[in-house]
Amino acid sequence: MVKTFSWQLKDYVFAAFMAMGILLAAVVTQPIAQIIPIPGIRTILWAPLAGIFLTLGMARLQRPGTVFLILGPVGLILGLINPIITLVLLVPALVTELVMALVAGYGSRTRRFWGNLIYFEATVLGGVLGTVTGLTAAFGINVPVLNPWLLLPAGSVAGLVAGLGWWLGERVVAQLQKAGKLDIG
Amino acid sequence: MKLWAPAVWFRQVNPLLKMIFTLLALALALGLKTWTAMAVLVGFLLLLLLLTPRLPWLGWLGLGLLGGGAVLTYFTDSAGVMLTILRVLAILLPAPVLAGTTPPADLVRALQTVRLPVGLVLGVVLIWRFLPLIRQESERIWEANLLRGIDLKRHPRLIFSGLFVPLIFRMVSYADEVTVGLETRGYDPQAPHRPARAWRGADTVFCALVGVLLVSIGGWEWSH
Repeated sequence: MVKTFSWQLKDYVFAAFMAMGILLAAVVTQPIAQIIPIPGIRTILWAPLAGIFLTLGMARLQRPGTVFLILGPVGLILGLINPIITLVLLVPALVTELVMALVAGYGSRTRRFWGNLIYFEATVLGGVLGTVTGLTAAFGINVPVLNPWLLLPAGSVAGLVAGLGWWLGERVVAQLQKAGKLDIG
Repeated sequence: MKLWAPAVWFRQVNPLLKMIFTLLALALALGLKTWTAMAVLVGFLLLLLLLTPRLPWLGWLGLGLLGGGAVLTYFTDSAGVMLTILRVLAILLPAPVLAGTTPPADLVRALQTVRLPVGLVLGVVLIWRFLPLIRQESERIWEANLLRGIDLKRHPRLIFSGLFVPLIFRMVSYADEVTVGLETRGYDPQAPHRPARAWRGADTVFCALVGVLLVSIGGWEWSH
């Protein structure tokens, strides 16, 4: 049997529901993130929850383009609040897709781990650098977070929480498979 | 809720035009260098805020503060501070204006007419429709835990197994049901896009107002 690589209706719908989970994770974590003045804190709080849904989506859809399909609608909706959020969400998704396309998708646990790690690390770095550049350009504020001694721990913690999100996501994948609820091609 | 005539008019403006204006306002907020030009932009946004059903009081308050701030800035040397405050306002205001004056159904319909990838449009439509349902579902699971004597607030380590796992099971079930529902109703993601909505008088008036705004802002920016 020849395996087709076109997206089907069930893939779009599944991706949309995973996007809902990611959006809910953002709604739950962002108010807390706003009161903690640490670079990359938004991603650090968001990643463990969002990582569950991202991993689940990767496990079910598996193909290159999955991360973009899940995060595209999230970026579009949050872009109505601020278009910069769209860039912070979708540029790392594009980077992740480009890297993961080299290994042909998210078919194994290891690939899903790398997919999560690359995405959340890119979000932290992109978010921090984007915020610094944006603040400097818009307000002339010299924000001291470009200091590598602040970026390094933020990146390391982001890696850890991305791993945590992936691990929790894989646990859910295993439970769904055991219950016969997840059809992994 | 009964709306006054200008508010009814502004709700009729094409949501895509409002989205383009939101992006334009953000670009101006980041690009303008004079506080007077920025004040014109913020004043326009505050006037639009008067047209939202829930936040008109914020618009009146903002206009009052803007007037007071402008007088104070004119007589003191605080243009830099005023510019920063106005810039923050110009970044924050467009989203509530767009969200508060656009019915969700109109927004979804407008997105469907744009030639965006089908996954993106279907994703937004489904999120808009089902997000409240998923929220309700999570509340039910929370209450079910309380009935079993488990207060997840006091036992945060049980949140994953007690809330997330059942919620994800429900979401996966919903995804399957929605797919079947869409297929049985003959939904085809590759079907031709809906025709674009007809241009209305409200769209023309809105574009004319934005044109006047841009000319005024350009005048203030270049004359200083």
